[in-house]
Amino acid sequence: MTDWDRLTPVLWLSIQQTIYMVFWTMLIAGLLGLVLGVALHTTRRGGLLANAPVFGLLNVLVNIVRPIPFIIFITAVGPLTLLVMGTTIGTRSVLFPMAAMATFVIGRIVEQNLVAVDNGVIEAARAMGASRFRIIWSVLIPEALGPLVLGYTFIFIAVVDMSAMAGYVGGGGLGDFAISYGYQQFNWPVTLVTVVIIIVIVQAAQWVGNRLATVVLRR
Amino acid sequence: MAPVITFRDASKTFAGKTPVHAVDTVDLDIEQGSITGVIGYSGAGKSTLVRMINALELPTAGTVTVAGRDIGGLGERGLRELRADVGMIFQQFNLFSSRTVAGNVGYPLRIAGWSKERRRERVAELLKFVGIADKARSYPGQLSGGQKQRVGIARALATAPGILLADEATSALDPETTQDVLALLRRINRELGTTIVVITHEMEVVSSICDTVAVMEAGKVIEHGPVYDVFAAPREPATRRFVHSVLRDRPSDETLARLRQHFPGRIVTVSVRADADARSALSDVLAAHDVRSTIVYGGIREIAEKPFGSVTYALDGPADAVDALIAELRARTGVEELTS
Repeated sequence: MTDWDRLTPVLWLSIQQTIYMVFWTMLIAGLLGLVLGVALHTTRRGGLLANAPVFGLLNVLVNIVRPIPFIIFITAVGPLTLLVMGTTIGTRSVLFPMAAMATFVIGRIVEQNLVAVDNGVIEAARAMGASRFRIIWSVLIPEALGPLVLGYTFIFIAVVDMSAMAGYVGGGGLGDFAISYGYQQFNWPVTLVTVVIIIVIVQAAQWVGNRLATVVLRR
Repeated sequence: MAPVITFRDASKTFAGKTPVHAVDTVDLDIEQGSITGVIGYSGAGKSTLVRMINALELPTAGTVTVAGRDIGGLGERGLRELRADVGMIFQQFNLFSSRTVAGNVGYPLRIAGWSKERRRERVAELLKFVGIADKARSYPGQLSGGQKQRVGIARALATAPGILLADEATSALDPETTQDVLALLRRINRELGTTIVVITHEMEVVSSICDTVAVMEAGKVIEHGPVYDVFAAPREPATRRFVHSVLRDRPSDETLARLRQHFPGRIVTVSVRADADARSALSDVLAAHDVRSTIVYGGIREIAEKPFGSVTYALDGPADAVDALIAELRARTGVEELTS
């Protein structure tokens, strides 16, 4: 028999930890990734801020980091995490590797969505005398907003996935809960409950993202 | 009138493995208040030339002066001021899909730092001027092509520029809408005194609104002058080729071969020009000889409000009479014998 009286408070804490990790990662990496994606898009040859060395550097950096399996990435950047967060243990400390990896992933997704913005629209804005940075925030990003919202929704799910792995190396959360109380104690119902909760979180996010994208794209 | 745009030995070379001389030592004056057509085949450098007027492209040699400013030496602020004085419209309209019609038209005013109140008034006035006052709250995705170009025009005129550039502005529109948009451009020129420079490959555009035309080939302006003069008496072979290809007033080789099957005699193309006396004289000449003349091809249209075109006749009769007829026609207008 599963002792739910004992497990429920732990489960509740795990849900809070997962939401904490996903929320802060999405917020920090969402902004940094947007900056990185815009930088990748605009420094490319023929772009608004065309700059071959900067583009080359960013591009190589993204290509090096992105393919590293996240569970290895967490341990590999351990010394950096210690430097930045002061510790490598606990829910707060995994925010560093999570936000770092998510920044690179989001950067690439943002870059790919910005490609869809017609160059003619950018040229029109230039012809009206808009400065480069003004064009970025008042034309480039608004014109790609629909696909960007869908891209961020997609990333949200990847970040939930990351949070589960982060839990395994000390971050807590639902991933940790499912492994510690489900897998390691041969308690299949606990694993199942965790899975259902994650599905609910992901579905809720997907629903919100889709609604938001529809509103943005309707015009 | 003084030129408002001046190109002096202006060149634009795009660097690369094989450098491209998009614009090659161009000297060109565009008069204040004129409508100038820039024509030529694709890749001739028309777009690059016109984009130098609002400094979207900077000359790699020579100078371009626009309303007294040398476009090569402008800072961020000077560039903004220049571009507020040079509006631009595009073939694909290039409207901001994320903004309403009013938002699109108001955008250049935001850049120019207008207050919200003044912006709203100006936008309403512009939308009324281009005839889409009821669409202010629509998004571009909900508009027809003609309506989109009207928004583009209103947006380009927002800051009351002295110059308007049109890059193939009617090429994506159907013939009727094209006429509406051309009429609007003509009205802008007449009522607001705006100098207009249009890039086009459509005869319709040149013949109905332009008063001056510049012909480009391989980066050079090979001919420049009043539309009628350039079209009626092209000096350069490339201009002649272009004029014939856009006018389509001469039978093609295939058409000529078909005509030959029905008309074994000589076939001549006779130019029709502005001079009304010369035109009635042609009828007299054709009637006076013992030659049967059949109209087999041709077209006459108006360019700069004057008739222009050619008519192709198949001539049938005694050889000496046909010779005499052709000689007499030659004395009065351009005659070209078609041989194949």
